[in-house]
Amino acid sequence: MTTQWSGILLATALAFYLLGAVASVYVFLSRRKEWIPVIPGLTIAGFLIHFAGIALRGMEERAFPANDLREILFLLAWAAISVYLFAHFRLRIEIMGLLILPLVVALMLATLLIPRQPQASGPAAGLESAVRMLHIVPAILGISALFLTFAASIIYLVQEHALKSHRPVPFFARLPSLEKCERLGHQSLTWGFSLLSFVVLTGVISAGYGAREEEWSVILREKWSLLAWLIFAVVMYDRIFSGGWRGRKAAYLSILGFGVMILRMIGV
Amino acid sequence: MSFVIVGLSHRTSPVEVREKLAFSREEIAEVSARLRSVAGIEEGVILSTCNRTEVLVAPRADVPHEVVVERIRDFLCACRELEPAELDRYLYAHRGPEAVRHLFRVASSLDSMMVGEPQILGQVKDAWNQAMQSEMLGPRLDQLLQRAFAVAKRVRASTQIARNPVSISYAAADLATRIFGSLAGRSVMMLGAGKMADLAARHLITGGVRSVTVASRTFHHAQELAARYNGVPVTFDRFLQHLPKVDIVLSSTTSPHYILGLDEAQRLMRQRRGRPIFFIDIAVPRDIDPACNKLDNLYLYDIDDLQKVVDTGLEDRRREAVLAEAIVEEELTSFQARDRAREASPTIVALREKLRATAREELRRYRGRLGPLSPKQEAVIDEMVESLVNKVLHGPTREMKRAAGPEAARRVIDLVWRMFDLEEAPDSRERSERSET
Repeated sequence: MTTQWSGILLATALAFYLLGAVASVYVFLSRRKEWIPVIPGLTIAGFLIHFAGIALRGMEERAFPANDLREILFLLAWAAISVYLFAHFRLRIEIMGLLILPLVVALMLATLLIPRQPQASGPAAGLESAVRMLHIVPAILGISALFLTFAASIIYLVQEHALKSHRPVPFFARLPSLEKCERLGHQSLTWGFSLLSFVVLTGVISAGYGAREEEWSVILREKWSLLAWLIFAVVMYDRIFSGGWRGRKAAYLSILGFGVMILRMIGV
Repeated sequence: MSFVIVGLSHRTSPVEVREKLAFSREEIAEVSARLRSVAGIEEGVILSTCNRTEVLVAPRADVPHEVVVERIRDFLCACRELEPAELDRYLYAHRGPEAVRHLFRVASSLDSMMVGEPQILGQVKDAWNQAMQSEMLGPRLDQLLQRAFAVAKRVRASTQIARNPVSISYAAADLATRIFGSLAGRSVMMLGAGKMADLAARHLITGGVRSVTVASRTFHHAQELAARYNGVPVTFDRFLQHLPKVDIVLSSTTSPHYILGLDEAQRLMRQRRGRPIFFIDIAVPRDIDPACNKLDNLYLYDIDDLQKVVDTGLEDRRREAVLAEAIVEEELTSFQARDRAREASPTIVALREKLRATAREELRRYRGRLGPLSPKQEAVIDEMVESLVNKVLHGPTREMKRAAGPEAARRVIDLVWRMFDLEEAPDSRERSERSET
């Protein structure tokens, strides 16, 4: 079977991410700073193999490899890893690995639980395929931006709690400042929210196409993404117009929105 | 590993003694010249800071370490016209690996009064430089000191030993950076003017704070302070109006009651629309109602909170110091291993030469009986001889390099020397040094 090769590559990538996640937990607990470079090292190896796996999958199917949920999750995981690498090297927020890597591992493991959907219809063609691409690509970009929002919000909350309680926790010193988390959260949310708005719009259209088959589940799903969109809209509105929900509350809401969105993705 | 350190530090001596033995930069040049004339000392470095004076030397191999220690003590006494008996109580001496460990610990700031303080490494580098200028630095000490710098760098990079603030004013500035990131472009308001507030303000300004507003009950105090920081004085009753515009408030008034209550703070936060503000309340009695800390985006630290941060910082340093000590031990072991390999290498060379010469000699004796050989056959014989020598060498070489501990290494080396009848050492001095250490 030809599809096996891409599967092997993807599994290898998962193994590297798992090692990276374990390494970040180890660094966190042992505070061995000299081990930090190991984490992005493992991740980059996984990242390249992951890319090869996705590309091979695309060649095997002769289509953009986003035909079922598993493939979409693989793409999403890949985008999330690029976000992590960006945060690590560009923003120098090394703690990001601890937050994003386990999440990516969980996402990729989730693909194992999802039964392979029989490709009865095969890759979609024509207009339907175009609408779908228009839906999926910005969705993946948007969600990976929201990964950053999510991670920045968590770091913000940890740092904020430590400052408020007057009790510096271990690793306290290495966390980025509140200001940096705010800025990163805001910027990534702006991107993520804009893309998500577009996706919700195209999602409604493509749901219209798919409604024939599994009407209810599709509509239910879109309700969830609408809810996520609304939550992010509140945070955005507040940041732009009143500012009263900055900081802690915005962080909580962002995490909630991200959670809703991921659950919707996996299709709970 | 023939090194000796003699000196005194804050651990062994009071400041009255330390100041007597402190050398200024100019003096070090002068006393270094004197150190050179001390018999048996080939290389020497003098480190003098306000917390320690130490003399590190690489002595000649034939001088016992005890004698070296005594000579350095006498040298120190002579420099300052002290009685040896007077100094003996305070001096410590480290020899061999102990000296190396001590130097690594000093350079890594593990032996400092304030563990983790960053100045000491620079001071050791200065000492190294001065030794070089006064031509007291040879290959042995140079190698050792370079290693010490690398160890210090590694300790700094892989532990958090210097991470946490150790004074209240520094803790305040450090917390500010955790809220605001860079302090560049931030503004500070000083309420009242105490010594501690002054110190904290200085830390903040070094951090890049842009504007300073000073409010004090006596306006001319405010003016004086503002002039010092290039800031703006305001009358005390108007400080509330300025609060929405500042990021950090340093409060140290002598007011007997709160000057900022919860209601005012709530109003302030509404006006600020969520922009964070950091109150540093170092006044006793406190200036700001502690209940304000509950408000979102308002961070309030009083003097006890700051002290707590400093205390945990110190605790952290102690914990990190354990990691650092482990690094030092690891480096000491690898330094010793390299040192042993260096010691073993003349022996290995001598042994190889001896075996090769013997093999060639024997070959020459028997060659005639073999009759004429083709060039290819000649080459095969040469190859065989070389291979034989290498095979025989393998075991002794490995043992010499591997022997655990300097004692064992020396025993193996001496044994090899005797077993193979190695007569002329490539460097006889190195050999005697070995048996001396």
